[in-house]
Amino acid sequence: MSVNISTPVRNTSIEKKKKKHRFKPRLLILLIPPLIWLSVFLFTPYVALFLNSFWRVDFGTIVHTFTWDNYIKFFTNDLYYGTLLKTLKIASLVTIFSVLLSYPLAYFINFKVKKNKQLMYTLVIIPLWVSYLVRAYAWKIVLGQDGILNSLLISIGIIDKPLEVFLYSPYAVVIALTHIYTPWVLMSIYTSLEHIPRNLQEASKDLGAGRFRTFFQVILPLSLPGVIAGATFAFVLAMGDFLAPQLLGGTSSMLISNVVYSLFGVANNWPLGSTIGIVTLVLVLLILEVTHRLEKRTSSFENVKEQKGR
Amino acid sequence: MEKTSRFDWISTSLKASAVLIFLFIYLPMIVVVVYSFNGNAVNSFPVLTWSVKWYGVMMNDSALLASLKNSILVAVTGTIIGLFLGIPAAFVVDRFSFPGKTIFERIVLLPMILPGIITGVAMMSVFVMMRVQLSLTTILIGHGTFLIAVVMTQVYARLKRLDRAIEEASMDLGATRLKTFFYVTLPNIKTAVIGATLLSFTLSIDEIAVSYFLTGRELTLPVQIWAMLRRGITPEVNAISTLIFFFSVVMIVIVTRLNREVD
Amino acid sequence: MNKKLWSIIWLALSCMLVLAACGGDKQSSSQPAASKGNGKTLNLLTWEGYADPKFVKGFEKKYGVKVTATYFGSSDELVSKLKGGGGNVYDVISPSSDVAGYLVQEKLVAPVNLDNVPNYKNLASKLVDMNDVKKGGKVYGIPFTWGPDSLIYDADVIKDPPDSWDIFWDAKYKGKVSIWDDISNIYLVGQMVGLDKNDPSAIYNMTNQQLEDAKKKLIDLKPQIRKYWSSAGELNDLFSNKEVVLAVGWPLTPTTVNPSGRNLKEVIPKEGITGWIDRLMIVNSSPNKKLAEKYINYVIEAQTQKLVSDATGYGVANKDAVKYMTEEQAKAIHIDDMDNYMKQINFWQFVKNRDKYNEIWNEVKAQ
Repeated sequence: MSVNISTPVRNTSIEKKKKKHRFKPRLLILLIPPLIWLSVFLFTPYVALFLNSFWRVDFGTIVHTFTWDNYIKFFTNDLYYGTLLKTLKIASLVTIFSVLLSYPLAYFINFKVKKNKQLMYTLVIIPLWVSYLVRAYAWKIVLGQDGILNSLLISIGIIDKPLEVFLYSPYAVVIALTHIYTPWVLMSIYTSLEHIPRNLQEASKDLGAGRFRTFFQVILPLSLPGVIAGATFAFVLAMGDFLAPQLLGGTSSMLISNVVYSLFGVANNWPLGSTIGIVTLVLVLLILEVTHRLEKRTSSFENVKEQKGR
Repeated sequence: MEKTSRFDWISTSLKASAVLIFLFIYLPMIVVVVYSFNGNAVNSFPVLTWSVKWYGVMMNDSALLASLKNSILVAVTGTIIGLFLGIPAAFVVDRFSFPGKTIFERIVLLPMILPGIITGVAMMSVFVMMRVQLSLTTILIGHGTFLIAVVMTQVYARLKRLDRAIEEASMDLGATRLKTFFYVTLPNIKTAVIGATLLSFTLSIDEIAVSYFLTGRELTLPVQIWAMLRRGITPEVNAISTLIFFFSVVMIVIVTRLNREVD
Repeated sequence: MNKKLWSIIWLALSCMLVLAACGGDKQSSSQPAASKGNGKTLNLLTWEGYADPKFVKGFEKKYGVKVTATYFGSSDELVSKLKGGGGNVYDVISPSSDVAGYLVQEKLVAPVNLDNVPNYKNLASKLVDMNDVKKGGKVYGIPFTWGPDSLIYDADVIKDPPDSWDIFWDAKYKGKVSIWDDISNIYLVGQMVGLDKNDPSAIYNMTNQQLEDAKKKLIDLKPQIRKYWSSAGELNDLFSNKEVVLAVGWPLTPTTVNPSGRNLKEVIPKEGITGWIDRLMIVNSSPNKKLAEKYINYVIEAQTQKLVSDATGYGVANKDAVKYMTEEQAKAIHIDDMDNYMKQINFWQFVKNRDKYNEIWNEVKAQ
């Protein structure tokens, strides 16, 4: 489930130039317990994954002879790289929809709601406390053959027999994942909107800018870091999801993590599974690096604002 | 007054879309609650018979309740691990530069950002290779590892914004560094710590991707629910989700109210 | 305020703990009543339906132990679970004929002491005589149940019993078919083109070309498929919610779904069907081997086997179970003409090139 908490961090914390204290080795003792924990339980597994990706498998038993075969297989067999591309496509759709849905609501709560603002915000993120699995599966009831959507459409006469395209299709996966990640994206966008000083909006109006201009030239650029952080988060998590496709996906909704799942949990081919794991890992790191830079560039607006605010 | 009486289509459409999006977010939740009272085991629409029997079934499902207990155990312990290892790490990372700091920061964040399944299979391979029996302990290790990252980032963000002058004042007045930490720094980052605690607990309770691969004899709640969903046992799952949902709503609303009173 | 906040958090946590504790209590309170035994827990890793309370409860009562079950959705999942860290988690497993021998070879299971399983001698000789689970004069697997992967259809929708698997490709049933998320679909396609006419094992040892052909055929089928089911429960749900009308499945599905007023039927199409023989085995690293043997002996008792058949609709290994059955039930599971009926089924065998089969199947899914 891994959650990108750095989202609010990146938005709210404005890098102040701080004088670093002198290097005090004595205090590094504090770092020893977490360091030991992380190197045993985190670093080692990732290294193991990396090493595993170079072994071979024979009858479900790992053979420790070095080979590039798994990587070659990944990049030449449509099953693997094709699925990765499909995953990226689905993740992009989920990201776009999440942002499109979160932005208006975040904007509305932040700028239009006067009373109970905090309560509204809380209500939006409450779904995060409902089991992820249950939220995904609830869509089964909504989208099914005898489900709510079909029954509703039939009763108002739009269709005369239940449509099958809703459930067990890529659409169902996209809808459910969008639903699951929208609150997270919203949190991120809301935080960045919240940090925009009201007087900026007023200043823009005073200077004669219309509402659209104010939005596109003042509000949107200032909230961009929040949008990017939230989008990154939704993208990366949607990319790694394997339960929603299994619950709601149809015959062609296998995503890359489902392949990993099947290689570890069914086909018993750990080396190839590890290879896909490593490829995904590298990809995620790349995405993070890119968006991190994007965020930094866009947040220069924030710094300006901060200086003005002083 | 005349000006505002003009139909403001931007505001109206904004409001309308906000309501729709709200509906979208809440629709599945409503569905789960309604269907938990469905007398029939088949999820057809509309609901024909109403019943509370699934709550009874749930309360008698020892496997489900045992998994809830396991989940709470893992979440509480995992959060404690996260706090005890995450806060010092955040402190050191904020205050000192040391060789390999950037790498350290990146690696710590990995289990939070990487798809859980990858961390899960990576950890499982190591445990299996080292012939460690999979159990609640291995799940706990998995959770502890990403909760360290959660706590660290939350606390680190607050420390970054903390005004260093008050600490310096404390030390100028003769307090030791340790004393300063407990009497000055800690109270100032208290809300961040509380936030991190709640967040860690919540994340751990709902975690499945990592847990799935590290599960031995005893399951956590999400793993149990997954097993039930796969086998099509759904009304009971609706019932327990409804309970958890209302429980969260009440708790969160109370916390929000309290926060507002203070403000 | 912070005190208040904390008290609420603690209150909340303690509420949840109490709720959980209630569950724990129920669990433990049921134990003293039956705790003349040692309060041990026996962990089963089985196909669905093999830990039904109908027959497991009796064992729990008799020996004062608790039986918990984890279900696997395919033979490969079973092997992966045993190899991937589950080796010391489970006590009794129920592999099918395709991987049972492999588990023996890999030393993942332990020999059964037949002295502790006196009911073994009452099992059908046809099943007991199979050699794949015997090694060095020791027996590793005790026959439990057997059955077909038959064509299941919703008789309310399809009036005439289908006589060929071709109906799955019939455009009339587009989006109304479900097949198993498992490599056994490859056997099915092999059977459809008659590969096993002379040699039953041919569909378990298909050549690369034959596999490619099978892949094509399965990809052609994709638009027809609503969902690949990954557990019997999921298939039951698909039928219950009227998502599908045709599927490959086990007798468990009609047995489970029909009582709620539905009319599912199974047939053997003219191309033939595959099937399975499930044996019970004891995991090598199980700490509860004695208890596991007691369990095995219990579930192959004639009376228990009748209950097993009630719960699953499968054929059972103990022919004496017929004494407790109605004529109708005995007929439904073909216990009286077992030898004859079994001839119609091509029972799963070990697939040497399992990796390749799995890859082909994954490629079909990824298309």
